[in-house]
Amino acid sequence: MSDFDADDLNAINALIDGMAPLVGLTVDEASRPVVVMHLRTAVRLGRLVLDFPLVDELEHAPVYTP
Amino acid sequence: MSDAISARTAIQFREAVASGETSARAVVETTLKRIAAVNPMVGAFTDVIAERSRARADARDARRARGEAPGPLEGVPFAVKNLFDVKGQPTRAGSIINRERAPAGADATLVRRLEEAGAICVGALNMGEYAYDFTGENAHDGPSRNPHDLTRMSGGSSGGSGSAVAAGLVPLTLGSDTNGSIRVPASLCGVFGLKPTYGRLSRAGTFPFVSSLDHLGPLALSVADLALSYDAMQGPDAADAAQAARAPEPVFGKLSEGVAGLRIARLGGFFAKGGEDAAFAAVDRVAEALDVSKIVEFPEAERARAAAYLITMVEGAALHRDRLRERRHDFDPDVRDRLLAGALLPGVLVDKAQKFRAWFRLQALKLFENVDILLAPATPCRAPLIGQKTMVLAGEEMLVRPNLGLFAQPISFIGLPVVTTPVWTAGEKLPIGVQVIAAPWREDFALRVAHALERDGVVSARVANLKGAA
Repeated sequence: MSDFDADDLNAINALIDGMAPLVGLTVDEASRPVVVMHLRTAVRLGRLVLDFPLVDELEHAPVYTP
Repeated sequence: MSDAISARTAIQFREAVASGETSARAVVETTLKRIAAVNPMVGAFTDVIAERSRARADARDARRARGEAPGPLEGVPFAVKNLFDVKGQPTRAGSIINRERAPAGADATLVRRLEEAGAICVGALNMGEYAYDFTGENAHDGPSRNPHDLTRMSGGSSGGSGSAVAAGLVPLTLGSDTNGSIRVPASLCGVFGLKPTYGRLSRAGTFPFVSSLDHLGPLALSVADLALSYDAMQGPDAADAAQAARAPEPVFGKLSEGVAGLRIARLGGFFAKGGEDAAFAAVDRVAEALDVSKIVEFPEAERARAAAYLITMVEGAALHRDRLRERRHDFDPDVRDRLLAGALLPGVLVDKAQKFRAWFRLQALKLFENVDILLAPATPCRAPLIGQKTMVLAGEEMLVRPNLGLFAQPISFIGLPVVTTPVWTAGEKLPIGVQVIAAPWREDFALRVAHALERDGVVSARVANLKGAA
């Protein structure tokens, strides 16, 4: 996940600027610092998930029966 | 009804009505009176359905007068988090936006089932907007307050559900739990809560949050009340696509089996650090009472929490994307900005998180080959102050809203059944909860252990002594 570094505010700001219009959303200046904060958290947690090795054949659990 | 009505359990209400000591109508009138007097203090109810509840009570009284047998919840007043459909009411889901919707055309399945068992719905309860919350605060309706200290949070997102029971307004409420939203308010308000196995109870007729993780369940003043209401709500419902194809497995009659034969351990690792001492002392107390010394670890629990967090961000954002486009100024800003962030995340995160969920489930099933019950804190601390944005846990400052459920989140991630049991400490007016966690579909084990703890006085629900209350 080196192209999406939690400390790289430029990358997060670029994500906001690039992705928000593509999904039809607006992040105004009042919201931006909070959205950045939440994205930093997501990047940190995302690294935990992405870095964990899983076998390719593992199924998802979208509708889940324990 | 006596003045002690506020402390009556659901079963005590049922016995009073079924025995003829009082009528369902008298119960409803007393309940409505108490709500009118107390709710302004606690902010638990957002909707009171007085006329409907009176009509239902009269119908129950007429049934018994005709000689029909009382139901298992005869005359028990209850209320539901306001994301449950209640016929004739807009299902606001804690939002401004949804209350503009047409009134619900029918009751949610669980509301209908409780009423078929004789219970009487008296209203809908405050909640965090769209259930994205652990605080019990609501930007539109005001906070639901902790009845044991009105300056403190009730916990969320089923804040009104915890507050209403702890304030003695009703003995039984329903809430939803995606990442901890039954267990957090049960812990902070000092009441019992049951989050059943994912797929056990129908979610039909409720406003969703994260379908992959959404559960519904009861909060109550006693474990027996949890079991009785849970039994009444079980059963297949084709209207919930995620409900598992399982026949009802009643628990109420098994409660007296206690802990005999059950293998119990406490969770170490992730669940034994990162909280205040009170959280771990509560687990100590429960473990000691159960003579439990074994400690086991849930491998990769922190990663499980991370995966649940990401699924929640992305699914929640997808659910609300159109509203974020068209009504963004009508959201609670705290909720909106979390949802906006979730809408921007790459799909690879949630895809991997759902695969990790399958892996984590397998680890849990292995763990349950050697143990039947796991004990863990429900919340990392007692109730924070209303309005408090950050807290310090284990020397690290963090946001309150997303982190009150940090010990709850890995458990619901894989849909395990949990009973939250409240622990009280001498000299401390606020409670804190312990999760009693069982393997999938073994709600009976968790409820049996919780019942034994309650019987032995280790855990208990308490109705707050609210000055000036009727």
